[in-house]
Amino acid sequence: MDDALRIDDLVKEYPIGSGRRRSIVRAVDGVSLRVRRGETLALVGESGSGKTTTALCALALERPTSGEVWIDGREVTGMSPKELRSLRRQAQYIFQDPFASLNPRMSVREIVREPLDIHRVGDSAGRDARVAELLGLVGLAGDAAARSPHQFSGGQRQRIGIARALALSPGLLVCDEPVSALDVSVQAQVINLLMDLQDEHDLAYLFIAHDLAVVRQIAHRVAVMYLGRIVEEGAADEICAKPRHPYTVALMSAAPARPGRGVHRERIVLTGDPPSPIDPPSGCAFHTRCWKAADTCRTVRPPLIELDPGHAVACHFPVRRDTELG
Amino acid sequence: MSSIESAGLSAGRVPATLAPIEIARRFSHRRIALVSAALLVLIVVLAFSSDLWLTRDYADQDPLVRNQPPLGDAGLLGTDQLGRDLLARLMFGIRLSVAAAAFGVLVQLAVGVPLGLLAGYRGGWIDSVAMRSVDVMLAVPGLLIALLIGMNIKEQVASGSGAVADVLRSIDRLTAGLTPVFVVLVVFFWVSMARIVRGETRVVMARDFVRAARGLGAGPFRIVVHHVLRNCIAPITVSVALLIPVTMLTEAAMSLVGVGVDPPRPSLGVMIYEGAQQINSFPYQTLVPSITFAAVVLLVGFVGDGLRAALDPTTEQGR
Amino acid sequence: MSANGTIARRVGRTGVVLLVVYAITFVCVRLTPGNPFAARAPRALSPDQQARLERQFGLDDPWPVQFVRYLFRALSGDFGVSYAHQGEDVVDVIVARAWPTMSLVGAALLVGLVVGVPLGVAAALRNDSWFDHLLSGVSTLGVAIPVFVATPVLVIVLSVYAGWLPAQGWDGLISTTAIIPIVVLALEPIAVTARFTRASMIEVLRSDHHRTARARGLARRTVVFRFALRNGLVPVTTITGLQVAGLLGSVVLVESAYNVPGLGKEFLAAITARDYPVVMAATLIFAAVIVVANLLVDVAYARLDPRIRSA
Ligand code: SF4
Repeated sequence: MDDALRIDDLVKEYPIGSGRRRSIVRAVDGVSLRVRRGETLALVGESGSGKTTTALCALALERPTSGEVWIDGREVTGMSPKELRSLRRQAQYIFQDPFASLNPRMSVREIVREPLDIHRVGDSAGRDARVAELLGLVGLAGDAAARSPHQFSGGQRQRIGIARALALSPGLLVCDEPVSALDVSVQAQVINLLMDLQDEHDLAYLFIAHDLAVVRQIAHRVAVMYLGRIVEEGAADEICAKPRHPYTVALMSAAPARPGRGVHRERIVLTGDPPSPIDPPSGCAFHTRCWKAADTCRTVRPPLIELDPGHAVACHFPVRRDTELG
Repeated sequence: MSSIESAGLSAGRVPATLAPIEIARRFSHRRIALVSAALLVLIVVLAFSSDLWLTRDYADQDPLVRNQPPLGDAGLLGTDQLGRDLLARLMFGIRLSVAAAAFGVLVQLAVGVPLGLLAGYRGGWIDSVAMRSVDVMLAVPGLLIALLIGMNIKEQVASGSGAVADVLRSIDRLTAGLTPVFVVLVVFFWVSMARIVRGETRVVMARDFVRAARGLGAGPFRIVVHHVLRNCIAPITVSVALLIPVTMLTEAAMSLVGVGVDPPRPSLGVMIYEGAQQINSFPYQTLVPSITFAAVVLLVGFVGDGLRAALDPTTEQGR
Repeated sequence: MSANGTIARRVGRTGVVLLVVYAITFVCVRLTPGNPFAARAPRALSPDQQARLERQFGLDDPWPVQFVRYLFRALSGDFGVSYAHQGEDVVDVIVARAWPTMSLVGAALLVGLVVGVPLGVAAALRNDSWFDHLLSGVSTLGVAIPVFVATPVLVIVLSVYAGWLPAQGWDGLISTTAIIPIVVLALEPIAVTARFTRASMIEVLRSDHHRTARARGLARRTVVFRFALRNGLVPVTTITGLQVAGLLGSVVLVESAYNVPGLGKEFLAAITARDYPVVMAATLIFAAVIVVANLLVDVAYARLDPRIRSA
């Protein structure tokens, strides 16, 4: 069976500046990923790590500089506009900011109906019925359709966005930090909704996040990004319990551990901001902040190597959980 | 939904824009604007139906009732030095003002808006060319160029030969002599609208919901019409209201200088100018059209202010 | 981009604007049918005389030649001879009439600033008071009422009924004749300046910077006059350039309504008389004044605004 999403060696560069000071930023530098059907892959990293760019390229909302993207076994890169339109029925995007992602001049009905209108699904009455069904699915009252988005709270608006994304019954949802703009109390509700929907509709999620508590809850697998590259990838349980890359270790130690799970850990605090992607460090990009960095790290870039089955790490000196920091 | 949630995010934020119903409600709360709008409608209806309720034509001369003051035997507003009924002339002048305003609005909507959308949506060289022309148009002595163009068109219509002059002449028959004014409106009145819509388009295009629409498979047409245009309605409306007085002024100034409507058709500008020739003996002759013109412009201004406040979500409800 | 680079680019743009104005003017004038001499001659001109006159004024050359020739002559200060003023040099015609126009425009600009700025500051300090609302109402009026309406109304009130001021004419800037034209012209600058000053001041007064200054214990007066005013007035310079463009349009109408023998009145007369050399010269001079004013404003703004200077 084909993967819901496969990304091969994706590179995305942006030109910045102009004239003599013109240069190029590599926001994504050779990322490969796969998301199986019905599975959630969490893509984790600080802001500026290239995770949103990866997601936008995955759905052809940005044009990759090089690399390939496959959705449901069909290659997305180089699709004609017409083919892209039909692709939209298979894969949808959920945005981070529920205030910016809904057109304030449209009613909720128009918003949720828009994908049906674009793809001419059924007749007008059928579309309205589908809108009502979708609103029910995401837990909004029936009278929501006639109102306009600004009458809703952030969590409700995100539900509207989810309803819109589900309208065409896609197999893949790319969720770009869908709860990070929401109140903590609301986050869990939306996460639960996403998990229920996944079970009911066999959805695959590429779930972008920087909050590891959320990741633990929803993800089957986790990929950690740093400065445009994947530095560690593996099953969610394993990454959370036994991170091997120093960067992941630092991220995990910064996140509040789930009560009753794991042992007490020393906190490793990352100092400084991530380096600028305009001028990335040589060798291992993390060496400027890594407590294990050695001379090799400054010159040789560590490849992503599968250390355990299904668990890959890009580090010269991976952390061994049993001896270090345990 | 939990009460905590509704109290959470939504409380601190101001909605970026308002729903149409809300706008209508806010507008109707502004009494001055509402009354102004009603008065404007009344004036326009009166002006365009004046043939039905007036006994005299704007061009009828009557040597027996020259320079009669208002509220006298010779009509409500009196007569001018040729014994023509000032009320009839005033009503016709308003019609010309309305015609100029309507055409100005048409130019803004039919030229300025599409151009702004195109420049903002496509960017690139179309954008550069459009915006450079806007810069130039804004730095040009507008009234002088308008009068120059007016002079040219007047002469073309009067004595020009060739295809252009023929076309202008047939347009002139249709527009009752207002061709120079209309040409000037076409030349100048797309500018500020194009600039405003272009800027607004760029802002809207950068917002997530446009990206969302792309992600849904929306084509350029849907994005421009359903997403960009719908979010530009407020600035477009305000801009139209702000420019209406300027279009009226253009017509009046051009007619007053003799490159607008031809006599004996009376423009408000012509009436003010002709009346001013006798300002010492019969001041009402210039006062009547002056006050009318100022009043109409003010009413439009009040409606514009009301619309602007009603469309701006950051202002509180006004008086 | 350095401040000098910005200014150099603006100067370039100024040239482009002037060239465009020249082109428009040239096209309008040259493509106007009819014959400027025939209209003025006492008797019908013979084809011979006609041809001689055209040759004399260089009107028989192909128009690109005329376009370039006129441009170069204009650049060297030669605008030809007026048709209407019996062979007078256009430059003389214009110089003789430039003073009333320029002094009226300058005075109106000054009055606009001197009256508009304090009004705007006062409204900003009393934001949302009755004074603020009154001012906003009055400024709507100031913007809305065109000069050719305001002139006769003021004349009727102040001259015809009160008899305080002359009903028309011009005795120089320092005379009672100048009052009505200046007041009429200044209405819009006052209204616009006051509105703009108010908005800009309110923004400055709300800024954190300003609050900090207040919190440091400086008196409100000091803060307003030393700090807020200086920052608040920087943006006001930008609209002054636009005012000049507006005023140069209005002054044409005011001069003709109040019978001031200035450039504006001459321009209207030239339009009516089809005195093309004067029309072209006047348009170009007005355009030049506008672009130079805008250029000065840009330079002043670059000097005043710290963000641009250091960038
Ligand atoms: S390669 Fe070196 S610098 Fe990079 S993470 Fe591993 S130990 Fe740290």
